Amino acid sequence: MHSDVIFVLVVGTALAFDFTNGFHDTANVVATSISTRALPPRVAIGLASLLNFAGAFISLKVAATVGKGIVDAGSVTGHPTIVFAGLVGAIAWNVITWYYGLPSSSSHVLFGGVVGATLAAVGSGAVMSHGLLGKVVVPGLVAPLLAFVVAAIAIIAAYRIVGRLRPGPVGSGFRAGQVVSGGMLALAHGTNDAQKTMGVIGLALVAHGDISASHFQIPEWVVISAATAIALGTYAGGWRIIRTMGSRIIKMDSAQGFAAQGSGAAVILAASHVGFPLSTTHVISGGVMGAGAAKRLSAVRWGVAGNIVLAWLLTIPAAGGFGAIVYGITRAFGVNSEAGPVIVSAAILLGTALVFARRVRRGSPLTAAET
Amino acid sequence: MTIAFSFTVAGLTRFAEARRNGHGVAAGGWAILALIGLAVVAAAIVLGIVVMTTKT
Repeated sequence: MHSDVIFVLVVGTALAFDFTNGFHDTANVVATSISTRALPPRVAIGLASLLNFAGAFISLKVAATVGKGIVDAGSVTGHPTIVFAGLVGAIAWNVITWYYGLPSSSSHVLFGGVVGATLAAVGSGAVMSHGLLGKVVVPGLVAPLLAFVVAAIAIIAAYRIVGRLRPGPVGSGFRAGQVVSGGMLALAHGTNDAQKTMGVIGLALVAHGDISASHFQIPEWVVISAATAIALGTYAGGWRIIRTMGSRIIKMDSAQGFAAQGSGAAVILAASHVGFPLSTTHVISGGVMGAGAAKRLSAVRWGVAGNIVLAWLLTIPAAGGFGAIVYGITRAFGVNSEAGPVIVSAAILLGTALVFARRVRRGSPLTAAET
Repeated sequence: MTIAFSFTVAGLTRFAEARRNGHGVAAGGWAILALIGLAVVAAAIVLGIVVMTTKT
């Protein structure tokens, strides 16, 4: 990379994306626990935040996937603005879906942004279409369906086992179980998602010439900073999506909450074990819909579910489009010029400050009673 | 995991009822069912952590 300024901007933007990833995906882990009152909202989010931080240290396999499997790492060497533009595109779509309370996949957002910027800068030759199809598109279709079926079977079996018992002790039992199943999800989320940012920073390090594309290794400082950013984002809490996941798709009881979380964790870990990475968002959303539909088809608000699926379908092209546009803007100031990324970063900071100022003026987030 | 945990919840609930009604043998049976369910859940959690930690 020709400029240290651009490198610093890329790393800062990657960590900002990691923060939005945690912020956006808090709902995956805590929404069902808060909705069924298994945990108070702040306790649920604090626990999820800690476990996301811990999860980021567990494995670096996903980080290597981002760095090597989707775009040709060698092609971005000397083009740091590609990584920068991809990240800004990803952040833009994450913020839009958060604003509308839609639980879209942060992984797909990131891949979409980076692929869009790469297409605009280098062309289709640098995009590994086989990797994109096998590691992103196919899992994106399979994950929600698999979680839907597993959660539906699990809740039907659970109702058969505990259906005739007094609801009080049964509800308490499943709420206690949700603390554990939510913890497992948070750990799995940290393991998967923090590493995606590590992979992107790894790409920037390749572009900067600090590490070789053929010996792709993530330095310790990258692991620590990515873990911290996702944990802080999780702690900040994306309440709009928590509300959608917790109560707008279905009105869930504690058994359904446990079935959605337990099935989600099982599907993610089983898929992980056979090297098939799945989106936590898709899995949990599918699990929540499955747990609701198995009880009664009309229990699922299909309009909300439809909006979520539409957001999933739009995620990769939309983030890719934003990534390509941002690359075009930065390129207008000259190839690898510092001016483009600096101006875009300043605009992002200003936009973020305005959004958060508006949020602060609107008052505190929801309580458990509101979910 | 959900099915095993459902047996734990059912076992514990029935155990409490049976003990309250003075049915010692039945209470013991339900307690064993609850423990088996809990053991399966614990095994699933350990397996999950092993899967996460052994990704290389």
